[in-house]
Amino acid sequence: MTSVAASAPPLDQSLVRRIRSVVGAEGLFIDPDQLLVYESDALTQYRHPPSAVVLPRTTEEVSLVLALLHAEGRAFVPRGAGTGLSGGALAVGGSVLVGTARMNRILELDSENRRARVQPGVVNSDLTRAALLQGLIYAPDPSSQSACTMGGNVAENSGGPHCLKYGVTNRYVTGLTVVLPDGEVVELGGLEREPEGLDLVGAFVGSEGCFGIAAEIELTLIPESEGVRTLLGIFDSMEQAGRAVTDIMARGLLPAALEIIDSETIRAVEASIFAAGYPTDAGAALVVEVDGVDAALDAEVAIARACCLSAGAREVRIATNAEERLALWRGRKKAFGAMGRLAPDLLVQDATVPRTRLPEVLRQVGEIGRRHGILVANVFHAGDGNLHPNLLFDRRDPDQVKKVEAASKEIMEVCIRAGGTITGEHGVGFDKRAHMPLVCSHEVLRAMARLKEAFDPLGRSNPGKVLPDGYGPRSGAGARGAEVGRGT
Amino acid sequence: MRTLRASADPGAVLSQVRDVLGTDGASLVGASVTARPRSDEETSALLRVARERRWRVLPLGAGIAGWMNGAEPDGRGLDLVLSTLAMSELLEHEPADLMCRVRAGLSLAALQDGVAPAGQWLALDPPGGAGVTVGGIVATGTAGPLQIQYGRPRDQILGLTLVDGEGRILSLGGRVVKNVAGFDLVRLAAGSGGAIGVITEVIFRLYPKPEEDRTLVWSWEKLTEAWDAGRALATLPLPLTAAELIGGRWAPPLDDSGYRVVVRLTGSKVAVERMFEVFMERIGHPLRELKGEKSRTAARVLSEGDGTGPLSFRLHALASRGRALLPPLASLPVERLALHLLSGTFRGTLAQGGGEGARTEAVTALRAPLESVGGTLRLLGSAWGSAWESGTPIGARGRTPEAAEAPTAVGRLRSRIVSGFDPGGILPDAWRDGLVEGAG
Repeated sequence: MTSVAASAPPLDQSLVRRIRSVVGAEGLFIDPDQLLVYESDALTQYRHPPSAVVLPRTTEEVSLVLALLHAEGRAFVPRGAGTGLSGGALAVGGSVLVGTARMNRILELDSENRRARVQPGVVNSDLTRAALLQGLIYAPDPSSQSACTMGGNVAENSGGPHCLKYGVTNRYVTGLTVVLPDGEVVELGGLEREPEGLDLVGAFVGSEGCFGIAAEIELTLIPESEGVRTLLGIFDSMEQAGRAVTDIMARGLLPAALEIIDSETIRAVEASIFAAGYPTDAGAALVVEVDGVDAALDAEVAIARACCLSAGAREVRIATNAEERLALWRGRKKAFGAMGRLAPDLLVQDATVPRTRLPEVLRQVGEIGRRHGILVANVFHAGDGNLHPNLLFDRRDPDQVKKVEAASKEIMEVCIRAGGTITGEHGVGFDKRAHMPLVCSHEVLRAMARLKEAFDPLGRSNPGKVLPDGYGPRSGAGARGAEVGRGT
Repeated sequence: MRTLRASADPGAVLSQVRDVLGTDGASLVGASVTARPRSDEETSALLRVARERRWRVLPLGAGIAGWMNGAEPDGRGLDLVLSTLAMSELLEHEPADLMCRVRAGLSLAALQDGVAPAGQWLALDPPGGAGVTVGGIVATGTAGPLQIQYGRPRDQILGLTLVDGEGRILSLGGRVVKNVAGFDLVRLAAGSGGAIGVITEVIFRLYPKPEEDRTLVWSWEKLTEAWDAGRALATLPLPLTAAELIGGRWAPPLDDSGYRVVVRLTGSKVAVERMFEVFMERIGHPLRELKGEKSRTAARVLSEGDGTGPLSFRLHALASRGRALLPPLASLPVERLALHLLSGTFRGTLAQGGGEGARTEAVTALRAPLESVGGTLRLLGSAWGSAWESGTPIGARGRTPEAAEAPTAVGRLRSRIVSGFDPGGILPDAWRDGLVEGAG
């Protein structure tokens, strides 16, 4: 893990004046002290201060800003709330950071057609809060939903606990107003049209800021479920919890969420201010949530409870009201916060494996941690096989940093051997791009590079992300942050 | 629009294809050669030859949506039809992971038969009937009534294999439900209509079959009455599996008279029973209830009944604005009509015998209301080719002269993407719309 102190070249005075005339004095930061705030996202082991931060307010301002940067040959990095976990919003090579903080308006909430049109800086849970007034919700719910923005969700194709039943971001994005890296504005998709032909919206979602900036986002909303029930199974071992998950799915239930918390995490949570009342000697806890037609839910809860008990659960708690529900969820939702007690730094892995391979993969993850002497705490989306092993360490100790890097790569390799992939929802970003050849062939990486080139021929949008070195338009090495190569 | 013209002599094409695939790998069908590669490697070798010779290639499954690409029924205008039908194996089914891996030429019916013993299904019901192939469904991206609950084909694909216009074999996505490792080429390929390559294999997400399956049918005399009632039901906050309004002649068990609202409810017995009660409370109108196998038959009739044949058309508008389109629709001589009550996609087939006159009449009647609601109309079927009448479809397969002559920003973007995967211009979007400079 390196902390590259990039020598961010300052913008020249004339460019500063021109950008200021577009976004106003409050929309441009160039003071190094202010820029420090933007030197990393939620993956804090990498730090790259941007050469400037620009905060446009409208699609037109985004377009004008990108056109100015384009004319000067400057690369840029889009940023929402900075809650990303893969270093996707790092201003590698002194890029100009274009933030969406001031683009936080819900432009349209059309309950009749169950759709919304928002600016990219709208916070995920603010959208659901507004939609709930009409009985609708925005389904994907990343754990950072009270802070993360819709633009960031589109860039990362974000998931969340409830994606087991409802799917991830790309299922809900129907249209985009995209500002291409040269400032040109294109309208992609839209619910007014039947989806036909090349799915440019689908291609843009999950492009991690490498294809331009989504300046307006059209989304599908869904009706709030009539009812919801949550239960918590307490198990002596992880194997038992895994068996309960497999049984629940085999019984034909499709819960809204199936989340597992391991013993290390339980102890961390219970020792923290977020204590949720989980027994500290438990081997694993399983949160099951079912939703839908209210009358049917008690029967579904009974099935899930039976599955937990027959898998060996020592106790099953069923929430009877909203307050109890939140309490059952607390151990899962506050797990990351609680881990701060165990070590100063943590690296969250995000590999995904076929659900049936979970028990064996978890065993191997545990062994890898032990072999390297690294504490690994697991919380994960068990229903869709999306692991989140947390590797705990102190980044001031170079020896620990090395061990974490090695353990992290081994975990990814184990998951790929089990038929999985290196990232389920956090994205490749800066952090995992070197590992892309583990899951993509040379030809597939070249194909991805060609898609990137179609949107961003000069490699100016979020350089140094997703694709490994040697693929696609490159940037970031040169003094101006946009030395361009077209090597493939 | 460019005139379609085959560039090579069919006899020469046939012998060159047979050099790659063997004698039984290709034959002359109509005016063009049909090749049937059996593997990714054969598909790749074939496309490399096509690229070298600059043939115009049309990838095809069951052939139901061939008109979409502007192909004539007898194969004129093409050099090579690349059929996926010799690649039709169900390679893998992992019930515990709710996943299956199949070759593109497998029919939807065969896939469903293969996974049914485990109590699972692929929740897709595209138009065109049970013979449609997996590759065809994915390439055209078409979705039927189930889309309101399960989404479109692209929402159910975990991974796929694409052989692009250079013959490069690209294994995309994977076997897991969540996967964000790199740019989403799976989504780009799904619905691409062959623009960037030939789909040879698909990995799907499956669902458990619901315990209970029930279809409710109400009839109304007037289209607007049926629409208002149907919209009121469809927008209840309940997880409906299908919500359609149909008119005209439909096969049993949907052969009632008048305009019918058809709602399908699936799930556990208690859930379906509860939803049924909610509907009964809401509606003071006689209804028919189809259960179990009858409900599944009704669903099949609904999905197969329309949307692909000659003289058919599709309209699309925001559902809340759809009402403005009803009076002109009711006055048209339609054989069948099906309106998605939530998505705003209307499908219909004009009565036989009207010919060009009926088409002109339909277009004239619909133009003004369509423009007022900002919707699009698409005329389908080999009799008409495929044409857009209103609006400029984005990234669409319709024959849009603007795409070639005065490219919009989106058109240029699309052209750059297609050129990256098909630099020789041998695949449909390139040769039909002139997307690839200097090719074709």
